[in-house]
Parts: sequence; C-alpha cells; structure tokens
Amino acid sequence: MVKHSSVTPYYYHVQTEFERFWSARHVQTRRILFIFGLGFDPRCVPAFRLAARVLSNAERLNTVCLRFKNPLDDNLAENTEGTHDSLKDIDQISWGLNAAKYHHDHLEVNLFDSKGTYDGHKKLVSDFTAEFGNTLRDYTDVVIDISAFPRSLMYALLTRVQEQLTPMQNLFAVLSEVPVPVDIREQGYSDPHYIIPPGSRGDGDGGREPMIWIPILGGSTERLHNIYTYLSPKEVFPIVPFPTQDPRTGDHIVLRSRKLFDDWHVPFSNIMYACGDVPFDIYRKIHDIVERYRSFMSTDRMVVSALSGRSLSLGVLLAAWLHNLPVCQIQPKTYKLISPSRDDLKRATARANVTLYWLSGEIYQ
Amino acid sequence: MEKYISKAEQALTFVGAGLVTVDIIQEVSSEWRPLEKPAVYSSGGTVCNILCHLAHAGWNAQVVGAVGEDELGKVVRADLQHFGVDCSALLAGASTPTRRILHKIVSDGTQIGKHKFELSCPKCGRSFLPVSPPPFRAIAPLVKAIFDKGSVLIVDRANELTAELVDRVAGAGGTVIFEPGYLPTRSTELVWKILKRVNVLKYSAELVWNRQPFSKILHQSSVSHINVVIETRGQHGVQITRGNRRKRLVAQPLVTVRDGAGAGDAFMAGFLLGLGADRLHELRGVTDFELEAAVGRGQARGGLACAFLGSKGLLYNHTHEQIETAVSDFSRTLAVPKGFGSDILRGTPCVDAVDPQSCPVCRLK
Repeated sequence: MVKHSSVTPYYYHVQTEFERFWSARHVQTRRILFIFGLGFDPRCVPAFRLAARVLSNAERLNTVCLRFKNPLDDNLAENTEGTHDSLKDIDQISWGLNAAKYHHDHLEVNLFDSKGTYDGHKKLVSDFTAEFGNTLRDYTDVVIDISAFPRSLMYALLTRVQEQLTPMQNLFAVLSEVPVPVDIREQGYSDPHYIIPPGSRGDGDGGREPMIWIPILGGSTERLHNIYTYLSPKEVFPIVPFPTQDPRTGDHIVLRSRKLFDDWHVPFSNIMYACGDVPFDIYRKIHDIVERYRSFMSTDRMVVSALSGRSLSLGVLLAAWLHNLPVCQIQPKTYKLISPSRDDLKRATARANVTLYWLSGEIYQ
Repeated sequence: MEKYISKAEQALTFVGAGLVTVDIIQEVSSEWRPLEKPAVYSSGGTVCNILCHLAHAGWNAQVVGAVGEDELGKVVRADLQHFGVDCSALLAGASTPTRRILHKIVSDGTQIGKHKFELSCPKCGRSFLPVSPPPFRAIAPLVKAIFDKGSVLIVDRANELTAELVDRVAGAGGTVIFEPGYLPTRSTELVWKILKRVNVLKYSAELVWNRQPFSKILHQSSVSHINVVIETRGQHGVQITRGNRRKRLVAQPLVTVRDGAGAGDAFMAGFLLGLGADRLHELRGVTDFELEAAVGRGQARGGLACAFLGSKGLLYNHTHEQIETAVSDFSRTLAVPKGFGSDILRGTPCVDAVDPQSCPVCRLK
C-alpha cells in the first residue's frame, strides 16, 4: 500500500548537489543511513567519499556497502579485479570514519541461485529487511547511492525502504556522473521478472494481462524483445531519451529498435521523447500516458520498464510509486566496461558530479 | 612435492586443545539407516580437524589432550600423525575409553549430503561417554615451548585446561583463537576468562549459551578487544566483525554437497592459511581487504570439503598443492572445479584385529 501523500512529486523533488544540500541541513542533528552498491564500476566511490566528509558530523552515521556476487558473469575475473580495487578505496575511506557514532556494514548478496535462476532482488530485500528492517525507523534520513546498482536491485531496495519509512523520514537517491561517456556492454539475460508486481502497491487484483507497456529505451534491443515476449502487451509506448549529452543518442536508439517496432505494429505517434538527464521529465511523460488511459483501465495493467540509464530509471520508479504501476525488468548476467578504460574512468570520478534526488519524506508534507 | 614453508611459518606453532575424539563415520540411507558398508574411523573434533589441515599444509601443529589406551585411541593418534600433527602432548589414559562420536552421512536416497552426529553406537547401543581433559600440571612439561609469542593456540572448549592454556599463551604474547562448538552452562566464569583474552573468536550463529543465542550475549558484552569475530551462518555465509565494522559475506551455492561436516573446520584452516603467519601476529594491522581475502580462501576450502565424505575427506584425497590450486580456482570461478570430489569414504584403518568381545562398530568391550 502507498502510505504517502499522493501529491505529484514533479514540483517537489529536489535535484541538487550533495554537498550544498547537506551543508544547509544541520547534519549534526541527523541520524543517517547511507547505503551504496559496490561493483567494478569506480563510480561507486565518489558519493561515499563525499558522504564520509560531509556527513561525518552526523548525530549518527551508519554506512552500508551492498555487494552483488555473480558466478555466471563471463567477465568475472576482470570485474572481480575492478571490484577489489573499488573495495580498497571503500575500506580506506571507511577506516577514516572511526567515531563512536559511526558504524559500517558490508552485505553481500548472491544474484543467482545454484541452478542459475535470478533472484537477486528478492534476496537483497529479504537480507536487508532482516538486517535493518527493525532499525530503519531510528534514522531521520536514508540515502541510497545508486551509481553502481543494477536496476532491478536498485528498484527493489528503494521500493522496500520507501514502503517502510514513515512520512517524515526522508529518502534520497544519489547518483555520481562523470564528464566522459561510459560504455558498458551487457550480455546474457535472466528471465524477465516483476520488481513491483501488478497489484502489489495499489488497486487491482494483479491477475490480469498487461495492456500497456511503457519501456524507456536504451542499451540492447535483446532486453526489449525479451520483456515484450514475456508481457505480450496490447500496446507499446516507447520513450526515447532526448535531448541527451550526445544529440544523436536518440536517433541511434530509434534506429536500433525500429525493426521491433515494425514487428509489434507500434505506430510512430506512440513514440515519445523525454529529456535524458532529468528523471522528472520521464516521470511527467509516464504520468501523461497513465492519465490518458486511467479512465478505462486500472493502472496495474500499465507496465513500465527502465532500459535506460540510472537517472532516467529514477523517474520511472517515481511514476510507478505514485501511480501504482507494475515494473518489469531483466537482469544482465555479464557486464563489460568497453570505454573508457577502468583507469581513465577512475580518474574521471575525481571530477564526478554527485546529485541528490529527494524521493520521499518531509518535503511532501 | 616438497612444501615451501616461509621462515615466518616455520617460527609459528599451532597448538590445539579441546575436544579430541574418534569419529565413527557411517554411511546411511535417507531414513538414517546404516548402509551395507563398514564404518570408517578418523580423528575428530574441531581442533583436531583444523590442526590436520594446517599440518597437511606443512605448518607446525601440536595437539593437547587425552585419549584412551584402547584401539580407537591408537587410530586417533595414527590419523593425526598421518597428517603431521605432533601428538607428544596427547596423553593416553587407561581409565577411560577414547571419546567417540558417531558421524552419519546420508549417501543414498533423496537426502544425500545431510549429516548428523550421535553419541551412541548404532550396533550395540552403548552410549559414548565424555572424557575429562587432563589437568594442566600433567601436560605442562610437554607444552612449555608454546608459551611464547610465536604460538597460536586454538581451543574449542572452555574447561580448566583450556582456560589455563589461554592464560599462559596470551600472557606470553601469543595469539589465541577460540572456536566453541559448545559452551558449559556451569562454570561460566571459565568462558568469560577465555573470552577476555581471545584474539579471534569464531562461532556458529546457532550456538546457544544459557538458553540465549551466543551472538546476543556477545552483542551485549564488552568484547571490543577481540580483533576478529567470525560468525558462521551455514548456507547463508559468514559475518566478520571488527569493532564498529561488520561484513557479511555470502556462501557460494554449491551444486553438489556430499557431506557438510567439517566444512567449518576447513573454513577456519583456510582462513588461517590465507591470512598467513605474519598477519596472524599483527591482527590489528590487517586491512579489511586482507581479511576478506583470507575469509574467501576459508570459504573456498570449506566449499571444497563438502565435495567429500567425512570431515577430512578433502585431506585424504589431495595434496596441499592440489587443494590450494582448487581453492584458487574456486575463488576465481565461484564454483567447485569440475571433477573435484569423491564418493569414497576414507579414514584411518584399525590395525588391531576385531576383538570378539568388542562391538564391531564402536569397538567398546
């Protein structure tokens, strides 16, 4: 059930720089839970480094490092080496935080079971709830750095935390972005699965076929195809990120997906564009579609999928929360950093822009 | 192949005291009925198993305790010596028989890999009685050399002997490892006496003391002096605590488990071997990353141990070099190497012919 105010988040969410925001919030009076994902991607480090500096004066600070183990990763050796490098940085930073009010937890989660079936998001939620479910209410602020989180896991965790917090507790997402284009190739996918199943958060019985599917495009078309086959929707409303830093990104995405759109008889008028850097624009586009169809279809029959970058994925999640939309995702088995090199990417993290997104809490009340 | 042992490792002596038993290992059906196979004998108990792993790796290992002057007492001694454990402080007493434990392993039917321990003979029904540890004064002349900073004492029981040994070794600047499999409800002061001087504490999450989870008691106590606290959680992995920092690492799901008994002991041995002699004496200086790497080696060795029947099947079947190669493969691929493991139960044979007046299984007269 959604417990929070139904006020649209579009006008209220704050998207601002991490440091500037906290410096104005009397950190010494806050009890903060800072959660971040650890991976081969060095972008998992800058927000934690910043948090260690900016939040160290908090009345209480608990940092939680979540790490995902994946034996099916074809690029395991290289990715493990990268993860270990990130871990050394994380360890070094957390060792510097040794005040009595500070506590550091490191939680590992298996993404796949012994039969190779993906259930990482369920394990993450159950492990996290077992560990922190009873103490979540002790915090004034929960901050989740999604910079190195696989989307399924980020959605599952944010949703569970949002459900458990009281209206006056704040939930933030943090994203570190670097000033260079990053190409990470994915391959081999799990079966598609619902992260937020139909009917799990709002009205509807959850037992009916989806009618509308709203995928936010990006990455490989294999994911698009697999989720479509799984859902078999009656109508598809693809959203293309545009404008973006690279002005041709939208064109490339449409060209890659065009054959699928033809096969699925998607009319050109169904394709929409939303700003590639502002999650709230994506939220507004989804909101418009939902409002258009709400009068003759329950929202649990309108499914969203984020195949795009993490920033836009947040907008998808906001729309799902506010309109009780089911979310269907697919988990890659292998990630490979194509460009830049890891060393160059690590260097670029020194100039990372760390943005804070206020997802729920006192600002809505 | 000759084992390479560093100077630091040569200067190190591991001494184990606590439960010294003979394991009577019986393969059974899913209904726990013995199969038509003879029982197999092996030295047992946490301390003995860990020492066997370490001695098998070429490290100096010595056991302190007592066995009976009976046939299975000779088996315990022969088995320990087979792996290179020094038994000069293993006293033989004529008054009581060697401590026996029945180890049942399901190797047929639907529950393959399950195991349990019993304290009576499946053939003659006689109970296996506990053996009192020898008094400190009886073994003191035999273990004088261990009271120095080059010693690492491993104890798995809290009694007068182990408490005295802990006091002496810790007082001399040595390292103390406490791995209780059971804690006495009387003489609780002995447990606290040991806990006050421990450097590494390892226990199972299921361990109960005075009707309370041991982990809860520990949490409420002042034990911040302990350098490393390891809580094993079976298939859920392991938790490592160091002051205000806690790491919870998952166990890799195993496709084939022939016998999980002894996996915890293999874990501890792998952890110590992974940490290395130098770091054992400088536990405060060990980084989180080094600690995690050592735990990873321990988890891998524990996982490999499950591919064999009996607590030390891994050691009977492979050289140290072969095991280390498999540990590295396991750590890299997160899976037991293909073809690794055996369905054949091995142990140390009884040299004496079966006395017609003795039970053919437990050899008690």
